[in-house]
Amino acid sequence: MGSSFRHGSSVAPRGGRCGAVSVGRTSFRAGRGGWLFAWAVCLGLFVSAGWADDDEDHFVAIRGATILTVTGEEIENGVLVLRNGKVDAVGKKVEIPRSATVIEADGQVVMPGLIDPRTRFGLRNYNRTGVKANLGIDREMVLDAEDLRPLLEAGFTTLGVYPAGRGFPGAASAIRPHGEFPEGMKQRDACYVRVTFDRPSSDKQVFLMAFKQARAEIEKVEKARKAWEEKKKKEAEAAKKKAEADKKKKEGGKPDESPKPKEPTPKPTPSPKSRGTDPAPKPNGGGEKKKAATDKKSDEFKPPAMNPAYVPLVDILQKKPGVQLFVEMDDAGDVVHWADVLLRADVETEPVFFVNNRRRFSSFFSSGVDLNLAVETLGESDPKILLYPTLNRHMMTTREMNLPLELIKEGCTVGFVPVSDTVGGHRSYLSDVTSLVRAGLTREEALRGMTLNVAAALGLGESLGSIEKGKDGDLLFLSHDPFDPRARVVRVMVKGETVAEPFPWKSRRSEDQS
Amino acid sequence: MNAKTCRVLASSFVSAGASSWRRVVSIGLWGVLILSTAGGAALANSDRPPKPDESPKKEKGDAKKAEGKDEEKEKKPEDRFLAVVGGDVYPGTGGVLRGATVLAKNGKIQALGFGISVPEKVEVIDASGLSVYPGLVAVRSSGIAGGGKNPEDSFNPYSFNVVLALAYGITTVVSGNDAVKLTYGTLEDHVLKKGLFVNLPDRRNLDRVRTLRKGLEKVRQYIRDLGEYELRKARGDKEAKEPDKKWLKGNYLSYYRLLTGSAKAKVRATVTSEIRLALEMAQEFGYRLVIERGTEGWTMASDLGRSGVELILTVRRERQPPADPRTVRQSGWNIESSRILYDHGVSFAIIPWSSGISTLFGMPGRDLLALPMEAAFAVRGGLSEEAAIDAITLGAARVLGIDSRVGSLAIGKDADLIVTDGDLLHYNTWVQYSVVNGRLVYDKEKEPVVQHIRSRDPESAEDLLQFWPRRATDAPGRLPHGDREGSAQDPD
Repeated sequence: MGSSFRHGSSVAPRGGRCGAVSVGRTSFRAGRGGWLFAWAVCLGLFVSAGWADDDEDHFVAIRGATILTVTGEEIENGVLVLRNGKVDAVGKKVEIPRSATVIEADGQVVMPGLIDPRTRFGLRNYNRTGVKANLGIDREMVLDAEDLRPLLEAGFTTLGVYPAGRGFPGAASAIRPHGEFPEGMKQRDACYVRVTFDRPSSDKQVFLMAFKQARAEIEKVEKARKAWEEKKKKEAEAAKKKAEADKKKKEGGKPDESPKPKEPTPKPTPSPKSRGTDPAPKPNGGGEKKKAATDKKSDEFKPPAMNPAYVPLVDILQKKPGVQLFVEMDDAGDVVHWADVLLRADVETEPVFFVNNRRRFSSFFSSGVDLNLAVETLGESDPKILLYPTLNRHMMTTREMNLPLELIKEGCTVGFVPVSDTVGGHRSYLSDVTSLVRAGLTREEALRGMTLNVAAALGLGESLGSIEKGKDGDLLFLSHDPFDPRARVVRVMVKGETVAEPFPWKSRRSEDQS
Repeated sequence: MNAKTCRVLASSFVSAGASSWRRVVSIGLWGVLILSTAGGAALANSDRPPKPDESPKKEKGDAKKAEGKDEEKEKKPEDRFLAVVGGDVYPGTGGVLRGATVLAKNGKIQALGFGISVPEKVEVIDASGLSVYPGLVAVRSSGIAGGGKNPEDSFNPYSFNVVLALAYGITTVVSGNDAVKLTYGTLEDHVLKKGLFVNLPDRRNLDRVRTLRKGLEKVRQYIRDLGEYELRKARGDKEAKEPDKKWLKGNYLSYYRLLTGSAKAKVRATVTSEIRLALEMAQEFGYRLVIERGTEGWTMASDLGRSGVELILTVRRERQPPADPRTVRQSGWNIESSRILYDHGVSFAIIPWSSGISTLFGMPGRDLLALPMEAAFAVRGGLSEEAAIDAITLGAARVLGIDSRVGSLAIGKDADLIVTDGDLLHYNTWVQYSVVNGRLVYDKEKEPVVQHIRSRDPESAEDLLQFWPRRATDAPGRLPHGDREGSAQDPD
């Protein structure tokens, strides 16, 4: 099976009878060989007919499925309408637009597409150290959508690809395992700034030094601004004197002209402030900067360029929204060290924690996870925590522990990362989470942990993670409930477009009959 | 006894500590004072030679920190109390206070004795029927606390070895060259003292000893020159030149610390010749000396006693040091060594053979967890019980130079104590509670370490058969191999 993923065209069902796809008001039934052709033609027609014309909205309707909205209630036999790839309406009684492509999903379960917030699937690891917080994964992202197809077929519609290394190795990007390489795949850059903190003895020093340097960068800009302000003041004063002198010379000349030199001085005062707080020199913002420079010319304060590697840290110090740290930890001791280092560096931040609760050597020496000891310390600020969906053991014992459950009890928001960064790890994701549900985790928390909480960790909580109006139509069609061991991925949808059908749907009835 | 006597005890401890310190320092410090003149002596108070650029900055930083702390205190006026009530308190300075109370406030002992009113809503440990001892001090350790330049950064406060060490009564350990506390679950007040010793080479490497001597001579000359310069300067001599001190770093700096009395030297010396060489060097240059091992020290106990040297002893040694054929004398190891040394006025700390914790490899029974057992073996060699306990508490703290804070229970000292279910030196005694910095960090009933081992019943304490299979699940009185004894007694 694995090899067949590689060779594309796996959209087509392999063998068996094909499902009925009603398009508009006409339904096709195609034979074994012609199905792919017909489907592709239809899709192509609709793509050209619907999306080529911007004025006309493109609707897709899903009918008859059990819809797990994550944020709202579960809707049995519901209707879900997507408009131009975004959720338009969801409910039991929703009117289906005339032009909609209708997908009959009787007996299937529809949930938001899965999200892996921390993956380097198929990428090479390397040892990058120090502070390189600005680096993204663009230069190393060599895989195109076809290489990531196995993950797509496992139900993952968004991947958070992180930079490898230690210290502040860079920022993660969210990509779709579908679309044109590379820009078409990208969803968001700088989702989080990764920090390793599982070896406090060295990581603490790196952290302290990094934020010391970030403060130095801020100070540099502040100094330059002060110098610029003083210079402006002097210039204004000089202009004033000059004007006064002129006035005296002329004695009763035109009074209108005198305020003129004053005018530019009040104007720039608000602008440098906004500039100062906003560490502008970003590679993307180059165009804007140019524009601003041409508009306001020399009146504008030009901040000295910051070391780009520290710009994200400066943003964190200045509490810029949308910038978050991603702190990787191992055990309870790291939690204590984290609290200590924040105090020492005088930094206030609400990071996403990643807890490695699946140590490589789970043997006699370190069989367990002791994070439960520091749960109260962690839970004080209701943090976001990502971890592997596995059951753990208490330290040096054989007693089982449901760590996610204990974290949730303390008020943490928990999200799940596939236990291994392989095809297998992604395929077993649902069943891994199911094992936690069997051990006491509630169904709602488990669902959120797979979708909404993970989307929030990537900073994509606004557009992904649940089935709500306005969110992206990234959907996962399952044959059974996600926590049913029989659940298989029937269909994966990205922005309302079916992109994979690994296990094509046979209706329950026909299954029962056979 | 009442609170008054207790205070008297405390004060007697202070004087005792001071006098012994004086004794220890006498040789080293007097030597330096004679050698160096007024200028040198003035410098002797600081650890490093003064650098004009550095010192004011540091002070500023400290002042800022202190201010910050004050502010925090103002924000959080809640004091942290812990009371250990009703136990037999062994303060570690002699005597016992039966049924006394120890009250800790913010990590320090605020009151100790009888008739102490415990504030309301305070965490209370009921120690009635139990014994309270000062937390044990391990003068060497490995694999428990972190090491390196920043010991607090490499310390895992939830490490399993920390729990184990606390379960066996150890609250302070030396890791690397720093004394740290086993502050479970927190990093607060973790480091007690950094840079305890200056490690010097021993006789086995004579080349390094020669270099050491040269270095010491150079530093000694520098201190003399500095004194002379200060003197001439004070007299108004304008031609006086300050001696060059650019080279005073690295090893030289540590020698400087030695010769100015702000650090102790530690030398590993096993046989007599090694010990004698170390002693001679220390006496010649006048620094304070701690000898590690000192296996044959008992053969020259009177010399050691006179010199004021301190020892780190292991009571049970398995290897005989090689006999020296050139001399006809007593040699080798002796279980009575600690008693003999004690009788000659040598102060020493006791440490087991292995300084790690043996969970799988190593030598269980002679690892760090056997610290009280090692002291008990000294009692077997004739040492008094008080002296044996002193060698793993206050005496050990004195060797490390941290006796002003830990090692005994006295008002104003750190609230580091252990509550045991019997005599500390009894092999069947278990620690019930450990307290570090006024925080309960170990509770036998809650930590799954030795939880399953049933505590000794004090009434049947002498009846060994009564608790032979000592697992909690076993019925009391059962014999290990079947129930033969019981069946024999059966009338049928």
